[in-house]
Formats: sequence, C-alpha cells, structure tokens
Amino acid sequence: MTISADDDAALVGRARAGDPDAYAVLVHRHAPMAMRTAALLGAGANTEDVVQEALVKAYRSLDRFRDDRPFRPWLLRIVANEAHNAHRSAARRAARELRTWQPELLDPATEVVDREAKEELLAAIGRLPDKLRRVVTCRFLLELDEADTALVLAVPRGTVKSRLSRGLARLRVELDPEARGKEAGHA
Amino acid sequence: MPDPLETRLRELAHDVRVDVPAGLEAAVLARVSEPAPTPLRRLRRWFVGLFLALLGAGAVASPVGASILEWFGFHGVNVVEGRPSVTDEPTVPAELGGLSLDQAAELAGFTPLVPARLGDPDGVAVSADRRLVSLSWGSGADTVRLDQFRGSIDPLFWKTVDTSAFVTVAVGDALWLPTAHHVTVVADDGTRQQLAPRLAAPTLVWPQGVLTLRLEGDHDLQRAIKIADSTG
Repeated sequence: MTISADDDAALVGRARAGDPDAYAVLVHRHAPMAMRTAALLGAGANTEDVVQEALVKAYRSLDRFRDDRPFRPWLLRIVANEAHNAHRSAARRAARELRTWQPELLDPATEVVDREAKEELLAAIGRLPDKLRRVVTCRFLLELDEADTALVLAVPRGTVKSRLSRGLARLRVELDPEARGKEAGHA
Repeated sequence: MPDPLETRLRELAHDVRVDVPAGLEAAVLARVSEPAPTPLRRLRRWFVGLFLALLGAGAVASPVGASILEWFGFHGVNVVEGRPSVTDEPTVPAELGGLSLDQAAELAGFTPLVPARLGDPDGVAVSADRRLVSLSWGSGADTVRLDQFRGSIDPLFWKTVDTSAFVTVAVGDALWLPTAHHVTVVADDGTRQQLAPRLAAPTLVWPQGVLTLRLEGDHDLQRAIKIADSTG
C-alpha cells in the first residue's frame, strides 16, 4: 500500500483537533525514518531518546506545521536538530568519541555483500567534517532529495550542492584505490 | 555512466539498518497524551527546586494567565511555556541611565560583563534594588539590551513563551526564546514590587560565572550567540 503525503496532512489536522489515534498513525509511519535519521546524524547511543524527544516536540509544534508542506521533512528537521544537540553535548563530554559510527549500523546478523568495503566507506563518511558528513548522509544514506536535505538541515539548497560535492571529493581522496593499492603492495 | 562512488553509497544505504525500539511508540504516545507534559529531563534538575519555591510563594500564576504547558528554570530565570495571547509588537526598552560601568559595578557589587562585539554600551543602569545591571546599545527597533544579575538569587523573570530551545554558547548551555514572550520583573527587596509585564523580543539567556545574562534584541540566534561568545 502506498501512503500519500495527503494522508499525513489529514492526520495532522485530526491530531491538532485532539484525536490521539491520528498522531499514533503518524508516529508509527515515520518512526523508522526518524530512527534512521537520528542514528545516521550522530545521535549514537542516544538515538532512541533523541527520537522520542523529537516526536514529542513535533506533537507540541503541530500548530506551526504548514499544511501545504510535506510532513516528513518537517519532522526530520526536528529529529536532526535533536540529534545535533545530543551529538554536541555528548561530544563535549566524551571528547568526540561519537565521531565514529555505531558498528551495528551494518546489521551483524544478516549477510552483507562486501561487508569490509562497506565498513570502510562508512568509516570514511564518519571522518568527514560535520557539515559535509551531514549532507552526504542525508543525500545518500537517508536518500533524501536536495530540497528535503536543505529543509532537514536548515541550509540553502546551494549549500547542500556545494557541501555534497566537497564531501564526495573528500571521500574519493580517502578511498583512492591507488593509495590503497600501495599499502596492499607493502603488506 | 553512473559514478562508482555514488553507486557504492547507494548500496551502502540498503545495508544500513536501524530498528525501531519496541517501546518507542508507546512512550511517545504516553507523553503526548499527558495533560501536563513532562519537562525535558535535562532541564528538570534546574527547575524542581525553583518551581516548589514559586508554588510556596504563590507566584506561579503567569502574568497573562496562559496555560502552563511546559516549564523549566535557569538560574534566576524562570520560563513558563504557554501561548502569549497578545499580538503586539515586542519592544526592547533602551536603558538610558548615564552611569559608567565602574559606577554600576560599585552599586551592584559585581562587575558587569560587556560583549566585545557590541563595544561600550550607550546606556548603563542599575535597578533600584541594585541586583540587576542593564546595558543597552542603539535605539528604537535596533535596541539591544543585556541584563545581568547574580544567578543565585530568587527568580527575577517570569516568561510566557511559545517556543524555546537549548543551544550552546562558548561558556556552556544557553536558552533561546525566539518568539515574543512576556516578562515580569520582580524587584524582590522585601516589598515584592512587581513591574508591569511587557512583551520581550527574541532573547538568549545563559549563566556565566556567578551571573546570569539575558540578551534581548531583534536579532537571530546566530548573531545572539556571537554576541554571547564575545562576552567576558
């Protein structure tokens, strides 16, 4: 069954009018993407708390949601903000320990083709500077389009474009097969 | 031809799995169905003591009678979250006092902090009870005002705000109140003189050393943080 954005707007309307079941449907529908967004934007061990907080904040902000806009990027922007705050305060405490991704992002229980190469790619994204990493993550790992990325990260579309190309350029250097080939040759 | 790196990234996306924890949805729904929402956990420790003290003093009634949706405290500042029912434009009163910073320091018993970014204030004043030092820059709609007081004393401000957010400034946590909100100043010198409430412009509040600072002006968060970061 496909779910249209129209349904979201109708549900928001009902939730605003005080129908608790309507918000339950929205939560159920968007919780997976919210979790994914929080985890990939660096909420680390706080991912569940971040998403819970964001979903509660979103509910209390429904009055400010504009019906003519899609609900998902609006919600994800709140999630991204919470994740960013959690990341920053955790980083202050734990001296940037969270720079690296949680290893379980690549499900250890299932077969992953080229697991090693994917872990390497994930680690390389994790080493990107914050601003570049967030854009690369939204565009590719969260599969958001340019407009939604701009909305979620609260930056202009032009900034999304330029950060994406800088991020990809950095990744290309990091993952340069020639450099890796030299290392392998030494081993 | 598809870019090999972009192809790898797309494949990686399909292998990344983040599960929704079993209790998440129930926890969210329980919280949103509460008539009085649970305050953010990280704020609670600042507030509970203050809130009880206010209840005891019968001072919790907000100046505009807005429903208390969410509340938390921050040193001498007490924020009551609700919806201001007014639509007036907020005003930032310029402090036209002609004191020097040294005179203000002598009266208040602490040296007022000045943001390097704003330079020397155009106005300096000390409240009648000598607890609050107010600095101001500019005039009219461009007025920027910085109030400061010892954070350990009783709550001085009550605010009714629509939205608020925790942000980070150089010295630690700060509270950002971007929408117009009501402020009531209680000059607690034994007479509990209450000043007329007014509608405040976007405000950034943060503790710095033993002081609490409150920056108010028609600026965005970025500029407010820059001003805060230049304060010392």
